[in-house]
Amino acid sequence: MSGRSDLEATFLQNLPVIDRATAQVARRHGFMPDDTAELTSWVKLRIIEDDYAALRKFRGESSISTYLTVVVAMLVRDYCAQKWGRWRPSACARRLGEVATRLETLVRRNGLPLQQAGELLRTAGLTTSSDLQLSELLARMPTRRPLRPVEVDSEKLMYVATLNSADSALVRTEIDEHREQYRQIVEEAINKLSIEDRLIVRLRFWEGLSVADIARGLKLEQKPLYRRLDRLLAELHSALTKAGIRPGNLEELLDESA
Amino acid sequence: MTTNPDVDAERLAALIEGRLPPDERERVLAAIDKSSGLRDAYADALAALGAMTPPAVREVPRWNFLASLTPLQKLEVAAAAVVLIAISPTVFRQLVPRGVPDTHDAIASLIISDGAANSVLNQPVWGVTRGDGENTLAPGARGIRVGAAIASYELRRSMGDSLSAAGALEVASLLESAPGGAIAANAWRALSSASDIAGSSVSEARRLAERVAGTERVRLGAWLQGARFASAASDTVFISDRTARSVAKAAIAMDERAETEFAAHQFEKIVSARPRDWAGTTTAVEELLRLLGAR
Repeated sequence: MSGRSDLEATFLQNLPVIDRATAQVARRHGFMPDDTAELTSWVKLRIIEDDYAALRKFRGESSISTYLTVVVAMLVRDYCAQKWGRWRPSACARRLGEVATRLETLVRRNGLPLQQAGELLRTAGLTTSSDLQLSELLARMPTRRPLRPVEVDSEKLMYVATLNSADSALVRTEIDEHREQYRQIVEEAINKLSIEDRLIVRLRFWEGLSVADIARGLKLEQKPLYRRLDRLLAELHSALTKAGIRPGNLEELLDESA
Repeated sequence: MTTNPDVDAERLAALIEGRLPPDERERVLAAIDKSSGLRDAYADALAALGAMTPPAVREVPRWNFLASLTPLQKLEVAAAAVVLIAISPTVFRQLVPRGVPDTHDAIASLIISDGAANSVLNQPVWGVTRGDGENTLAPGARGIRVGAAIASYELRRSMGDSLSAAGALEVASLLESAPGGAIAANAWRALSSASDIAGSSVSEARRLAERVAGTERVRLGAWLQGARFASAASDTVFISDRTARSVAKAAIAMDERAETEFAAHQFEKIVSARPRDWAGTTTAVEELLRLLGAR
């Protein structure tokens, strides 16, 4: 692909693809509609910069629309990494749907109080759930430590200090140790699978992709993929049981290990 | 842009489109496996492409074998088909996938205590929508909610509960904001104010609601709500393994999101487990209802 005018024409021709891809990836990352507009502008600027460098790199080994979708996905990842570090919505939130993903992002990433997050979601027409219902939804998602140090004001620290007793700290330490132990065992079991099987498990349970999406991405038949996933889960289940762990729900345990 | 020097955006795109030779494909898969950054971008791209791609239209196979038959043979085949269908309707129904069953009779004949019924009726799956969101409901979600509301109405009516009138009004409220829903809404408002309601009036109102909000969606919403009651009553007839399979299939067909597919499979798994886990069944049913009725 050469010539600035050719590149510009390609960019303009594929603007709908860029817009749609950005909107879809933004939803996966829990972006609110207002933030998506800012993100879309940023993505387009990055594609345009340096004389359409992203388009100049296109070699024709794939269709331009798939290529641009991947470019958008990588750019959105960069955008999020710059702003929030490595934080991503949990697989659990993705499974629970868009409202859950956005709620988790607002509360756990952005640090908003639940009431404010609920108000934002309702005002944007994304839900009609009450704060109580949203709190029940939030409680179903795993709590994770922030990946970057977050600023907390001294008043909050004092409040937290009065809540924390030595006992609750001890209980939290024990729970964290178990969680870490489970995570290592699950990692070891997964590492014994073939590369493709590992990827299938990770895409399904870490990334929350549908079987249809995984089949499409790996060019596999969809129907046998269900059986393959069941078999892989059974193998992991067996490995965990041999390690002395009796997981009640393997999918949730895999989610905890993400 | 974050890139792995060996695997760039175009390599990932070529992988997605199945254009890589086998050894190159293995190399790219290995790179994705090692790098969480690549894996995240790959997954996001796959999900975005999945959402942007319209569902493939299934081609109905053309059965051309009839063209090779003589006229007499065609007549024999036709006669055999007629005989089979005529003499064994039950067998035929067993062979053909039934889809979501019509739950009208099943809900009316549920044996459930007042306390159990009220505990379900007093726990709405969705947020309050009256005056707050009916107009923003997608057609699919509306159909599910209409079905659920009809099921609640039918249960209350079968129990002689005076609150069934309010239930009929709830159905009317969901229908009147739907395009062409005025007549159906009026039929349900009439049910709310009638003192002596004939079964035929309810059937007609239900038929109108299905026409406005979509038969499959209304039936699915009704079945799921009925399943909440049935689960509270530990009723194994209403929630059978076979029906659970049909319901899960219908849910996935109606809503292509990963979370719905996951919820549908979870539901099927829980229903088929022995001994029955009624609490788990209730949770799984409510999760499906919430997802399908919230779009």
